[in-house]
Amino acid sequence: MSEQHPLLEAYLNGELDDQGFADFNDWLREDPAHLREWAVTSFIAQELGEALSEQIAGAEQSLVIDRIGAVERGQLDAEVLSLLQQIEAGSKDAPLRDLSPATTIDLDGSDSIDFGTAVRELSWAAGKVARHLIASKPALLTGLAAMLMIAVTLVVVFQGDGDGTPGIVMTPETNQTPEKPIAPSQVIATLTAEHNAQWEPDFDYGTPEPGDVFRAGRTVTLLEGFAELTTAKDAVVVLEAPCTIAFDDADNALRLIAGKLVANVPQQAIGFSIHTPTARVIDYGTTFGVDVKTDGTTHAAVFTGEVELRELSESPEQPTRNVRLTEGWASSVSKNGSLRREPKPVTVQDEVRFAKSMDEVVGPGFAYRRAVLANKPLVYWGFDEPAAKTQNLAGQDQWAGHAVGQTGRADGLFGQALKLAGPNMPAGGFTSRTPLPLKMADGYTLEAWYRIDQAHVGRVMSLVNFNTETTSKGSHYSLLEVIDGPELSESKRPYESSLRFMHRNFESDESLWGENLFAKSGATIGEWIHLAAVHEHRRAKLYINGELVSETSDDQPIALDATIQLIVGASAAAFNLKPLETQSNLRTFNGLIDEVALYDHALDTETIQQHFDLGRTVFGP
Amino acid sequence: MTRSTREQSEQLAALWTQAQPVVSAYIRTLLPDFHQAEEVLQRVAVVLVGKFETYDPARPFVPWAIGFARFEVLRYRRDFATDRHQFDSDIVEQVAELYQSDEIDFSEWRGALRTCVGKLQGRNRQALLMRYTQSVGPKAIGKEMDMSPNAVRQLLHRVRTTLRQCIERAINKTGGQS
Repeated sequence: MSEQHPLLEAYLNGELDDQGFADFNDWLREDPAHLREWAVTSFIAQELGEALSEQIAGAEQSLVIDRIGAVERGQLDAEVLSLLQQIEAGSKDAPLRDLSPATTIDLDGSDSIDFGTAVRELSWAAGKVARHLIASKPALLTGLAAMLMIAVTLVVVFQGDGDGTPGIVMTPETNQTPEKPIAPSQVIATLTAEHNAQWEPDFDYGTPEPGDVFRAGRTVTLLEGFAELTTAKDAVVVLEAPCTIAFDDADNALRLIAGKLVANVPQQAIGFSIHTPTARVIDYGTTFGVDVKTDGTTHAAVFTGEVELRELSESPEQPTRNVRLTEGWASSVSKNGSLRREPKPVTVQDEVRFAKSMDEVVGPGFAYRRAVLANKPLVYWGFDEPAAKTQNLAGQDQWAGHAVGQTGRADGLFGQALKLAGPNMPAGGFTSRTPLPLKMADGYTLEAWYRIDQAHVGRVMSLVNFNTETTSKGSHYSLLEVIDGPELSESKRPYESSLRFMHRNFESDESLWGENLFAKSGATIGEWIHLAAVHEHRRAKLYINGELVSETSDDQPIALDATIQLIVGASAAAFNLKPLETQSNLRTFNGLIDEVALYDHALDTETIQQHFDLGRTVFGP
Repeated sequence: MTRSTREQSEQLAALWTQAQPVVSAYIRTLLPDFHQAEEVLQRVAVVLVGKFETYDPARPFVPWAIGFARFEVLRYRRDFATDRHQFDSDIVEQVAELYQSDEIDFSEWRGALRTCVGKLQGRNRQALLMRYTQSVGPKAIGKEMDMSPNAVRQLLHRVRTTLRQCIERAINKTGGQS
């Protein structure tokens, strides 16, 4: 918890004596930051009082009107009336302490409140009640005005130095939730690490900070970022926001109310379980993920070891079903509490959905990949697996990447990258193989990181329609290629040492060559470069390293609905699927390509800049 | 009332509705006694009506109003205030400068605070009610709530800190500057 200067703290609590107040003045003069801190905290304190009063006044206005009615009907206790008359007569020191604690205002014999509460209610709502009466019951106003004034006067007496004021009985609010236990209870877990964490304000315990312990009875909500908890038996749990978790008085268990976590359970904590609204996940020595979705479904995926996933029965007599999940298997319990009959293999979605450790969270690439996935790409290839295939990290397995020809792997931006040795033979690259539906009218974005190892003409990536009947126009809808090297044709000389982005429309006779954008900064040799090529609303934009370097309008209508393939690392000819382009036109890339993504919508400048910033942290400023 | 005067009144009413909470906060920072602060606020309102003709609508209203509030606070302190704890004149001036600068958007803080206060419940809310609507100190609060004064101080500190974090978070989320 953040520290405040003792003088400021004492001032806020109304506990400064004369010397303290003088010291406080000196402290304020010491540093403009002190003055600012005081002004802000003082502002909060004042507004807090007003906000609380407004809440009460609003909630209890009707009640107060009833009670004023009781006053009007002469139902005030005689002792209270006598005191009010003393105060009205000007004896401001009328001793509240002389009021017996049992002094009450009797409301129709059915309800009673203590005197202090009555006065506060009267004063808080006095203004509103007066307005109400003016509007609705003008005849009553005269009779009540004196009473309201008295109520306000009483509050003056209540204020002043509170420490000297005798007991003011605060009646708990009727809608108040039960108080949380104050007595220390069992420590369930410790917050051992966090990353970009933002917690829901917790007025009972303060905002969690690393090293804090969570005791039984507490519930916390992680609004943003990640947090690592370690239980008493050393099970390590990684929470990912948004996530709400409760610490019950149960041994070796946590209750996940909503959101995701991954538990890494050591030998001594076997039996550790996660309780969710519909299920229990019981560990047998493992690493597993649990996701309680917004509709209440519990999804469990096992990364190593074994767990039991069990339906949560509503009554002890009711039999529950359960399933043992071993490494690489997942299952779920529906929002209605029924277990899916057949487990399914852990998918790539499960792999990217769960943050398995804080090392992974803070490691290179994690934030970048989450940022890419947040923008819902159709295809996202990381090239971290064996050379023949790369998973679609975006989730749709049919759009995994498949190698064609000669490809390799080398250390990439995050993990491995695709390595290609063009521009001449051997040719190779990656293709989505299964065509992707791309609604061009909504725009698209092609994104990748690449490193050019030598000057050449080579294709980074393309969108290709292998089925087009318009044979005279080639097959590329969109391409990104490096134009460099000593053997450029005359027509390409003007664009030497640049990256070319071309968008072509097959449906228009006017767009044989499409719209071309060039970026000199995209042809730097030996450095990782981030590119994003965007087409939307008849505009094409090329971003290099997060900056918009070129854009143009495209007056031609674009195809409304196309079926395309994403190819990486060479022209369509290299994939041997289209005879139009000759073997001399393979344009295999020379260098490394990584983190290729295709979106069926345009990314905005801010997002592209963010992706570049997240990626560049890997190789320095 | 001439048309132009009526228009001026309406304009002042609109500006004052927005500025009044911030001007009030400035005054109450320096005059914690609620009734003294209310009286000075009324005086400021009267002065602003008289001076409104000199207000340049191209300039922000709050700093202009704070200028008069500063003068009224100083005058009230000199003539009427009976509190033994009076902030020195230079501090009155410095706080005015802070309120006149755009360093802190108090209106924004005000909105965020209303949201955060809604999350207060139970014991915390009870303690804050006593402290900030009744001006009751930790000892008396402790007596009523069956807590030690130190425990009350810790509770107040924790709640204030959490509230501050909640406000700052709310402001940052809406893209504001604190």
